Amino acid sequence: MNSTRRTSTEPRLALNEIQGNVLPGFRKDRQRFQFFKLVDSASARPWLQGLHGRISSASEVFRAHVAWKKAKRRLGREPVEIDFYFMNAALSAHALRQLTSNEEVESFTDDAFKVGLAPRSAFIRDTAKLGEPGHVSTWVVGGLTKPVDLLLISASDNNSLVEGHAQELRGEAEANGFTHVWTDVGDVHRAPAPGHEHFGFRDGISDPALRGRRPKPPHEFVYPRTLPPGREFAGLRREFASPSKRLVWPGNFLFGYPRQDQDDPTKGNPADTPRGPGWSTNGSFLVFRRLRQDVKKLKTFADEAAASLRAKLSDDTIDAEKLLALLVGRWPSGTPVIRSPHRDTMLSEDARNYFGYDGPLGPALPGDPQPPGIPDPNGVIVPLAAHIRKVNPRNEPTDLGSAFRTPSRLILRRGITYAESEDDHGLLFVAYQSSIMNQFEFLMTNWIHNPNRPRSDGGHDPILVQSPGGEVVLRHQGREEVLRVPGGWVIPTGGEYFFAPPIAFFRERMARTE
Amino acid sequence: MAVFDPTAGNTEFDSVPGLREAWSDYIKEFFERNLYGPGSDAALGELRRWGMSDSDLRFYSPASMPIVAGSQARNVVWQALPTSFDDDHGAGTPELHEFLDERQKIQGKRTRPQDEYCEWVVARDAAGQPTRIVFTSEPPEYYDFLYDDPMNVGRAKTRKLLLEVYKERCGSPTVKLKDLEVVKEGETSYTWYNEWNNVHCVHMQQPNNTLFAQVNIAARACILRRSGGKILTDAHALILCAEYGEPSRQSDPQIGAVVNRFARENRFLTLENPVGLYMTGLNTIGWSVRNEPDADPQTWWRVLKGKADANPESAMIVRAEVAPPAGSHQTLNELLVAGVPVRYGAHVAAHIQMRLGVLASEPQSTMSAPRAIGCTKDTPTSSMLSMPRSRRRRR
Repeated sequence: MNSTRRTSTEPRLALNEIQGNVLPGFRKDRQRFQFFKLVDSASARPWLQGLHGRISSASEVFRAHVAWKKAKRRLGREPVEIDFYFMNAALSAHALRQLTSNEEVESFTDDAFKVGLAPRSAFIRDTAKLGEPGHVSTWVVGGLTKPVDLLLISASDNNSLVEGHAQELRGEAEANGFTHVWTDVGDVHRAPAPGHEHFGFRDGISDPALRGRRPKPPHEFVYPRTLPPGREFAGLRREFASPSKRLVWPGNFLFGYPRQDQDDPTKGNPADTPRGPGWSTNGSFLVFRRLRQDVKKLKTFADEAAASLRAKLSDDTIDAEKLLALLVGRWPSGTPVIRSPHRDTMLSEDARNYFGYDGPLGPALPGDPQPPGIPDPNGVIVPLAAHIRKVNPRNEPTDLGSAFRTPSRLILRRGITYAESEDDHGLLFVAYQSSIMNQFEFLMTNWIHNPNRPRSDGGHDPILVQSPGGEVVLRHQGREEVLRVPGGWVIPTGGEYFFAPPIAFFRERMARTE
Repeated sequence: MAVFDPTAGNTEFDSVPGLREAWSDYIKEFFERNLYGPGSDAALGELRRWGMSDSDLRFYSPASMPIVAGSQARNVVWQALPTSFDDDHGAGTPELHEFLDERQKIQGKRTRPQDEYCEWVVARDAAGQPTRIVFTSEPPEYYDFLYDDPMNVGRAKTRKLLLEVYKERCGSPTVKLKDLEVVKEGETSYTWYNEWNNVHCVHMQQPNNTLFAQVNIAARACILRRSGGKILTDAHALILCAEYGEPSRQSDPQIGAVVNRFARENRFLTLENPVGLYMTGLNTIGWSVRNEPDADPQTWWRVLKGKADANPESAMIVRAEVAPPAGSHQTLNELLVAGVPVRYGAHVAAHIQMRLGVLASEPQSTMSAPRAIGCTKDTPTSSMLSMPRSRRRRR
C-alpha cells in the first residue's frame, strides 16, 4: 500500500470545538440523559444555535478535571465543595436531515448511522423475536415505537445542579421544536459501588488515549506521556501514553483527523480520515444503548455453573466469584485475571491495564508487586471468550491479522450506571467513535457474538450473549470444558445512533436557515 | 491410493481415470517443494541456511508421514472482505467498495483485487443495479492442473474436462479452449485472466490467492523465529521476519501466527484434507427483504460448489452466489443488510467467513523443542552455525 502518505506528526486537536464527553469524558457521578423528538426544525434551529455557548467543550472539561484533581491533592479527599456542571448534545441522522439537508447527511459514509439503530438491532444480535424482552419493539426509548432525535446529557457530581439545568433545558427544547420522549438518570451512587456496574465489576477502566497535541503553545500532548523513564520502556513509549493507556490516532474517534495506519500504530494515515459533511470536523458518532442488567439471573447461573464445574473438574477452588472473574476476565476490583489468576489482588490503576494475552507488554512497572503476567495464547488462564478478551484482544493476533489492527476497532466508553427501580437497573452505555460499522457494530457482530472470532474455538462473550445457544470453552488442567451459557442477563431496552457535532456546528451551521 | 482429495471433495475428476490420483500427486509435490525444495523459500532450505535440519520442522506432508495420533482439527478464520486497501480508500467507503468490485492492475496483471482467498464478480443490469454476485474460492491450480496435465494422465481428456467445468461454472455451452488461452512468444498457455473467468468468476485469479501460497505459508510459518534476542510471537513481526504471505491481509499474518504458535508449543501440524481455502457460509442475521418481513434472506444465498455443513466450521464451500430466489422478480438491492440495500460485493463479503483447516497434534513432550532461526534477511552468524543443538537452545 502507499506508505508515503503516512505521518508520525500528531495533529493539534481543536479542544474548543470537540464536545467534552467525547474527550476527555465527563466522569461525573450524576448524569441526566434527556431524549427528544424533532417536530419543527425551523423553531429548533435558532435554539440549537444558541446552545453553542452552553455546550461543554473538551477544553473546558479538561480544565475542570485538572482543577478537581488539584483540589483533591490539596485537601487529601474528594473536593465535594467544588461543583462542575457539563452539558453535551447529539443528534440523530433523521434530525440532521431535517436541520441541514439530505445531501449533507448522505455524505457520511457510515451506513449504520444513516439508517439508525432500530433496523440494525437484530443485526447486532438483539433478539429478533417480537415481544420478547430486548426486542426493539419493547424499548422505552428509541426503537420502533419511541424514535428520538436529540440527546442532551447533563452532568455534575451535584444532583440538584444536574436536575435544575436539565429541567431548564427540557423546557427550552419543548418550546423550540422538540417533544420530550424519555429521561434516564445515571447515578454511580445507586450501583453496588461507585465506578462498578451492577454485576459488581469496576467499569470503564481501559479506554484508549488519543494521540494529539493541545492547540495552544507549547502544544503539549493532550494525553501526557507518563511511562517510567528508562530504555526498557522505550518500545512501549511509542504505543502507550501510560502503562494503562494505549495511544490511538484521533481519526478513529473524531472527524477531521487521520485514522491509525492499520499496520503501524505509530503512524496516522491522512488518506483515511472519516468522511462526512464539512461541519462534521471535530465531531464523533455516539452510540447510546440502555442496557438493563438482570443481576439475579447472572448470579444464579454462576452459582449453578460453578457447582457443576466443581464436581466435573474435581476442583474445589471454583466458586461463583472465580467463575464470574473468568467470564469477565477481571476480578471485581478490575484486577485482570491474566495477572492474578487465583484471587483479586486489587492492583493499582496503571497495573490493572498493564497486560497482554500474548505475553506481558513490557518489564515490571516500578512498585508493581506482581509479575506482569505470562503468555496465555490458548486461553488456559483467561478463557478466549472472556468479555474483556473478546472486546479487546490486546496484543494477540485476531481474525483481522496482527494485533496492530485491534486498536482501530476500539471505542471511547462513557457509560454510567442507572437504577430506575428494583427491576430496572443497568448501564446507560455511551460510546464514541468515527465509524459505527467498523467499531461498535464490528465488536458486536464479529467478536462478541461470534464463537470463532477474534479467536477460533473460544465461544460467545458470556456477559453480552443473547441467544440461549451460547457457550464458552474453558481450558482447565489440560481439559476443554464447554460451558453452556444461556445469557439474557443484559437486556437492551433502548438506544439510538447519534452524531455529537462540533460546537461550530451549533454556532455556524445552525445559524443558517436552509 | 490418493492422499489428497480434490479441493472441496469435488467429484469432477472421477470422470477421468487416474485423475484423482494425479491430483493427489500434484498436491504432494506442493508440500515437497515448500518443505524440501531447493531454494531458501522452502522451509528446509531456510533451516539449513542456519545450520539446522528437518528435526526443527513441525509441518509435515501426510504423504510422507502418517497423521500424528491425537491430532485435532483447528480452524483459522477470517472474513472474505479484504482490508488491504482500507488505508488507501477508507474502510467501508463507497470508493473502496467500487474499487473492490472492479479489476485492478496488481503485480502487472489486470485482476480482481480481492485478496482474502475469496473473489467475487457483480453482475449488473442496464441501470447498474446488481442482479447477482458470484463468489469463488476455487484455486487456480485446479484449472492449471486440468490444462497442463502435469502428471500425464492424458491431456485431451483433462482439457475436455476443463471445458466441461468451465461450461458448467459459466452456464454457457459456448466456451472454447482457445478462449482460455494466451499466446506469448509463440507459447500457448492457459490464462487465469481469460474473459470467461473475468466475467463469471470461475476461479481465483489474484496472483497470491493460490493453494501453493497456502502451503508455503503454513510450511514456512512453522519455523520459529528469533529477532533482537527474542523469540517472535507477534503475527506482524513474524510475517515481516519470515516474509511469507502479505502482511496487509487478514489471512496470511493470522495463518502464520497460528501455525507458528503450534510449532512453538512443539506440536506437529499439517493441512486438512482436502487442501483448500473454504467459505463457511453467509451470515444473514439481521438481514431482511424489502417489504417481505417473513422472507428468509438465507434463501438468496446458494452454494454452487463444495459442501455446506450444519456446522459452518466444517463447511467446504468454494463457489456460491447471492441472487433473488429462482422465479422471483426481485432485484438484489431489495436484499437489505441491516436495513441497507446490497449495492456492492463488499456488502456481502463482509459477512462471509473463510477458513483454513489444520490438523495439530498434542505437544510432543518427548521431543526437543524446535530451534529458532533469524529472519530471512539476516545473515546467519558463524557462532550460531557451529553451536551444538543443546547450547543453541539455551541461548
